[in-house]
Amino acid sequence: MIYVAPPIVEAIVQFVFAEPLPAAKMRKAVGRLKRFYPATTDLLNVQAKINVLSRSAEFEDSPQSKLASDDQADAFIIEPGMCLWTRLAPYQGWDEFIARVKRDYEALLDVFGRRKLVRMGVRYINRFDIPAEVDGRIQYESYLAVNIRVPQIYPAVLNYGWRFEHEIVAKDLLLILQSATAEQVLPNTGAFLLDIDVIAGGTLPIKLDEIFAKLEEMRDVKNQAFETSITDKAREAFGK
Amino acid sequence: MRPEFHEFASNALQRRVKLGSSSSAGSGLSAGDILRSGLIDDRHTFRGGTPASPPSLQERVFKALADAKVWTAQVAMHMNLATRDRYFRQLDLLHDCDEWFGADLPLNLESYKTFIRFMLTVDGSSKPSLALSASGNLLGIWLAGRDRLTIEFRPGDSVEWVISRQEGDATERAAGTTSSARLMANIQGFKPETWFKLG
Repeated sequence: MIYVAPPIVEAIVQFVFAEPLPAAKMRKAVGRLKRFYPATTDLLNVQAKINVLSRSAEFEDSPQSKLASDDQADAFIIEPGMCLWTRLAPYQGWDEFIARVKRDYEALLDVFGRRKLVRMGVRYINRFDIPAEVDGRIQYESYLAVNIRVPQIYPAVLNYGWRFEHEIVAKDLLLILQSATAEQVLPNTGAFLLDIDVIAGGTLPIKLDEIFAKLEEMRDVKNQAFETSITDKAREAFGK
Repeated sequence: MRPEFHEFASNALQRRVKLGSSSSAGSGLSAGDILRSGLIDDRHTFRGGTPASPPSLQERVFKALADAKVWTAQVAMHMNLATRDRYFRQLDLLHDCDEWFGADLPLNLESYKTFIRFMLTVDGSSKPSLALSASGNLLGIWLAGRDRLTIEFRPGDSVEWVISRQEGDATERAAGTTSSARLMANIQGFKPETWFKLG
């Protein structure tokens, strides 16, 4: 289903490498992709493991580069252990998004050759801005088909959060579906997140075409999860 | 150095989730983060990112613009692309480092949020000129002949408005401070339809 105004706040494709990238290769990869992304930010991730009992801490540094479009809606992030692509709203569709991922990954393969992947992720974070009723209540169940059934003694709840995982054995995929109330963004609405994460682990393809075939398979799972999690009223709101 | 972002990872959580979640990078928003912040309290690994060096004026301006553009994505599904691009062009022009006064602050994100939330409640064809106060608050200026409405958008959906309106040979002026939700009620006596199409 293609929507005029999809509720996608962020779409992500992530590849996790089996072996960390050497720093020189990472710098070269960033240099290669800068022509596509005018805004570059270099960060240093510092991970601290604190041992409370011995009152000591271990620090580990890891460089990270974020390359972004001028409008910040398209970004590519690379760390020694992984790279990811993100598209913020307004979402322009899968074809455009995946074409960028493919363009960039082909350029990366020129720099560091085929690399074994241990995880691939396709994650879509959706936010529904649901108008409040006259009495101020928000009937999120009218939009989200998956929700928590609460006892009748609780006619309304202030916040909620749920998460479940489902293993799709035939495709060797893990689906993580989550939903929670979020901070209100627009006046007179309530904000509700639907977070769909499809993860491939185990034996993953190495060849480019097979990697992207796998992503298409993950996209189908993501789409099915979305369509089965929303109601017709939501579809109408997104302009089906 | 001020942490750019931080994220917690819990060994307990990683054990429970076979493969973990795919990273979220741009929006800073995910149901997973919200669920974890409420439900998981056995964190003991901290991961923070820091800029490689103290920020220069260009870096501060870049960050302010980038933060505003990233936040815009939170509401971009409710505005058309041309409107979003017009705001971005105006913001880019307002943040020309060659024209910058040393003590001025770049765009205050909370002021920008107030502006965008207000603009989403008025007719989409409304096209104010934008300006920036020295403290980083965004100002919208609406002109219709000699009639002018200026609104300073402050953090927390607060607005300060100034009207200059021609009534015959006389010029009427008025000003006030209110919430963005109450603005139209405040300026009702000054024919807001001069600047906004009202439903």
